[in-house]
Amino acid sequence: MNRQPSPHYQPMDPYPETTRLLVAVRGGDRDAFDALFARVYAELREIAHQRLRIHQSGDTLNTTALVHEAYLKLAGPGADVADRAHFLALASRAMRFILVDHARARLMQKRGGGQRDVPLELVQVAADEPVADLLVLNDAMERLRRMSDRQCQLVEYRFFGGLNYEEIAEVMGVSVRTVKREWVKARTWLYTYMQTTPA
Amino acid sequence: MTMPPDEHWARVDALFGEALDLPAEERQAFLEGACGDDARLLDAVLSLLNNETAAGRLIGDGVADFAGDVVASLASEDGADMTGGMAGPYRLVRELGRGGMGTVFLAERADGEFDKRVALKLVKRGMDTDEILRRFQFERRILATLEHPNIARLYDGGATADGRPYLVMELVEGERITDYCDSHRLSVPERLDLFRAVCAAVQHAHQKLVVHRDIKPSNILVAADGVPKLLDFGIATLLGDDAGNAPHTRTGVRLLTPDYAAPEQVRGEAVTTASDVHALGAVLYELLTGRRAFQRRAATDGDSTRLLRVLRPSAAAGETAPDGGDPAAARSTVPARLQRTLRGDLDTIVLKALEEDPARRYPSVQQLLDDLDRYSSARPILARPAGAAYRAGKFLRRHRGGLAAAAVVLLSLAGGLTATLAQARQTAEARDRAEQALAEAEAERDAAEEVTAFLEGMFAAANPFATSPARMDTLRIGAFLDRGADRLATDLADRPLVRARMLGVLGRAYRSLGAYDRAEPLLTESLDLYREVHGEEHVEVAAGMNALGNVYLALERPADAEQVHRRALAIRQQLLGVGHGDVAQSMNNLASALQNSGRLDEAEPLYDQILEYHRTRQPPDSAAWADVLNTRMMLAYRKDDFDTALMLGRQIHEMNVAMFGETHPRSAQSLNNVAQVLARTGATEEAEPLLRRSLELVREMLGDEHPNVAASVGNLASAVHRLGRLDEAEPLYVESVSLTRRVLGERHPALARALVNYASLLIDRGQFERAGEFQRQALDIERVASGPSHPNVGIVMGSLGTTLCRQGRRPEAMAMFSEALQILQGALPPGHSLVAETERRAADCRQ
Repeated sequence: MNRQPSPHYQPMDPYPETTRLLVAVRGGDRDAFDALFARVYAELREIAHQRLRIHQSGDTLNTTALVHEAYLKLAGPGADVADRAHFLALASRAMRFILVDHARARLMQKRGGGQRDVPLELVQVAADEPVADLLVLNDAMERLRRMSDRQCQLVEYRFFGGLNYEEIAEVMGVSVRTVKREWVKARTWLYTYMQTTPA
Repeated sequence: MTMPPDEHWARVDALFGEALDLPAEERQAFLEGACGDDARLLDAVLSLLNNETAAGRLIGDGVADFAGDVVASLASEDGADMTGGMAGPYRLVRELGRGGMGTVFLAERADGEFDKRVALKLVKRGMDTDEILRRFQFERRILATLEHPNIARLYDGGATADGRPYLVMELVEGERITDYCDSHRLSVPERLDLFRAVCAAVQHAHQKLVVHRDIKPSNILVAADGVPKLLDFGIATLLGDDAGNAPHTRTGVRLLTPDYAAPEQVRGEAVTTASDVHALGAVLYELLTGRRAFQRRAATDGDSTRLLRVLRPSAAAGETAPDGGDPAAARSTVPARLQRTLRGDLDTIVLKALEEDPARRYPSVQQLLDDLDRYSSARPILARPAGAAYRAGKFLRRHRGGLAAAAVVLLSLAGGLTATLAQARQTAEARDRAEQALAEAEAERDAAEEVTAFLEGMFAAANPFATSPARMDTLRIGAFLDRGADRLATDLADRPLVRARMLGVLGRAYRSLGAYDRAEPLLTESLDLYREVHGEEHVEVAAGMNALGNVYLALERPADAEQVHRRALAIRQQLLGVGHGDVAQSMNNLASALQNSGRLDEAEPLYDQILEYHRTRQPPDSAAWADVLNTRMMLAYRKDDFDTALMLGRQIHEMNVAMFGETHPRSAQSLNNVAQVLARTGATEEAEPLLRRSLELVREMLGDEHPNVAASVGNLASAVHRLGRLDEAEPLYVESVSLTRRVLGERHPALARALVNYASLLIDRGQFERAGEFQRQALDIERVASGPSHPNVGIVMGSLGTTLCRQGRRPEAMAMFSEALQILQGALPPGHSLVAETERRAADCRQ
């Protein structure tokens, strides 16, 4: 199997581009962030799709798997450890966006495509996906961000990205112990905000 | 690191972090020191600490699986293009909805084997198909036994060609129970009826050892014909929704929507029938208040927090609904009235079902159902609200170590316990002792209540006024009660309180059966025991007096009744304050006693107070309210004010029918009263069919041998007599006399009435000798039972005067009339028809 990229086509192997973008993001390049984000977003959906086609029964498709797989695909196995940490952070945000977008869409769908509520003549099982709750959580995260950007990011990594404490410590450049404590604090704040958000 | 824009927030957050680093028992002291006199800061950090555990429960370490599922469904447009596709022999017609477990389709058999349309649940991808199918094979036999009109059936199950499991269920067309109730503006009693049907279905399943595990409004649909159906019974089990997995790996859904799931379910602990009780409690809460039991509450300021706690339904009903709608209007009432309806028993029932600790909930759905039945038939419920003593004890136990200051504040609110416990707090040791004593007292009380509750439940069946029985075998019940009374004669000698309560239960049951003479000694003994245990000034003593007083009323011993009810009223006023329902009840009973004594003028002023109480505090459709109106109606009747009596009588009857249905002893009685008032005003033709219907009902429900039957027969006899059908009336009169004699004995005023009425027919037939004989017997009874100056004595004398006159014994007759008039004028308001009637007869005789 020849895995060498052909010079005549767009690179089949995307690693160099991802790595470049990651480096740029670390350097604070906003456009690079957007470009990378779009790639990660698309990749996450693609992975999910492929996995479903193969449908490995019993093998649950979870965020951690998705995010890590996306990383492997986009950045390749030889990527820089620091890049990996940043990639995972980015993927976490992408996951959050995907989920929140989805929740919003479902909520609109529930409300009859944005029109007035139309009572269903037939309701067998109502959709009980936690769309509203996810949106409430998302709002709470925005409130938390106004107070502490760091805590909000931590929630993104842990809750949406499924990163473990060590990975988060790496991304944020703090000790694992601090991550654990901040995580407890952050989710308590979120919970508190969620209680005070009118349902 | 950006500096947080809110200084206060940053301080709270920092202190919160520092406190988290400390062992739990050191946090309080540390924070008190660190916050100094900044109470707001301390409050904010403390409430965060309070929230920490709940936050961990709600926002788990990850929503990994949930997120993955959403992404997955997003990527594959899961199910959306399945419409028109096949699942086994079923064609998917269209999507009905999506749930955490997958997508539900309207489906039909493609092979036309059945033309029935079904609901087909296509399980989402990512679940273990083999495992689900294996469980399905195992569970389907059990689920197949769930045949209940309120449970949607599970028909079939299998796997699609690409390996996705599906389940085939009965198709239910309807609205969620909450939506249905709102769109039909069902009242609270109507909602309770619907909910009880749901409970019965769940109880049925529990008896077959099937737990639902996922009861919520979207799983309870009400069809257009008003029949509720539970969906997805056993499905949660089948799909292994929570079998042995850590909570967050099941569904992120649960983590974020704990609205109906029981706490132990959210924690991933064992799920039992108690979890279904909790879920039913949450559904009932929503049905009654329009709000979820566990709700996010708006805080007063941005930093303070609120525990995720359950508001009392009556309080929740007073808040604006989350959607801005008016929960009261959706229940066909107004907010104040809705709150009044929920306050008390319904609050207690709902909160008992929603107890966090499964052991404190109703032990089974049946018991929840029983309490709802008790509530609906206006009997006392068995659940007890967590009282101040209980709460104080629980609080002390929870905060054994610290928070002494808070404990003192709470104790000062805890009423009777304050003194004892405030002294005890001086040393930790003493506090522990007090705590133990409290626990023991609580245990003793609980045990006693359990025994009583159990037996009371057993005996409830014996009380025809308590339930709405189709047919009561009163003889069998009588025998049952007799056995109980025999046993009580020797049993429970060492448990005076339990014994007192049991005697009370038996006595009240005998009274309902019309066996007043059997009820009296039991209730007397019960009262004596209460006095021994509690002393004189106690609510239970007053309740015992009330029960005994009511038997005196039924025995028509108004002097005894007055004395006992007066005493009960005094005790209740002193202990409960004037604005209490029991005080109003005592007043009403005292008013009855005064009326029966013929002291109408003394009875009347009591009504002003009673009416005021009920106007402001009681729901207008309660049995207690009907009782008050009934006494008021009797007063109007006795005062000759038939218009008022008729109006009230009709109102009471309508209330009774609405509350208990037509086939209930109360309704039969009120129908009889309406008819009797009609007959008294001369509308005898109109009255007759009502009297007949009432007699039929009362016989059906109370059996042939009951004082109410005797009274009904007597009333019918009089009506038929007045309509001129003497031959038909006579056997009825005879029956009323002999039945009254059998059920109430020789000395009861009811026998006097029966005799006098029969005598009036004998006069019309010219049988003056027998008539006079009966009248003299009646006079003898009334003089002893009601007292020589009671109007009843005057009435009997008046009729005896008529007989004497017809016999040509004028001087004796005139003397009799004159004495009768003297009594009647002294006892009745001026211009009363009985006075006029007697005067007329006297005048006729004189000529």
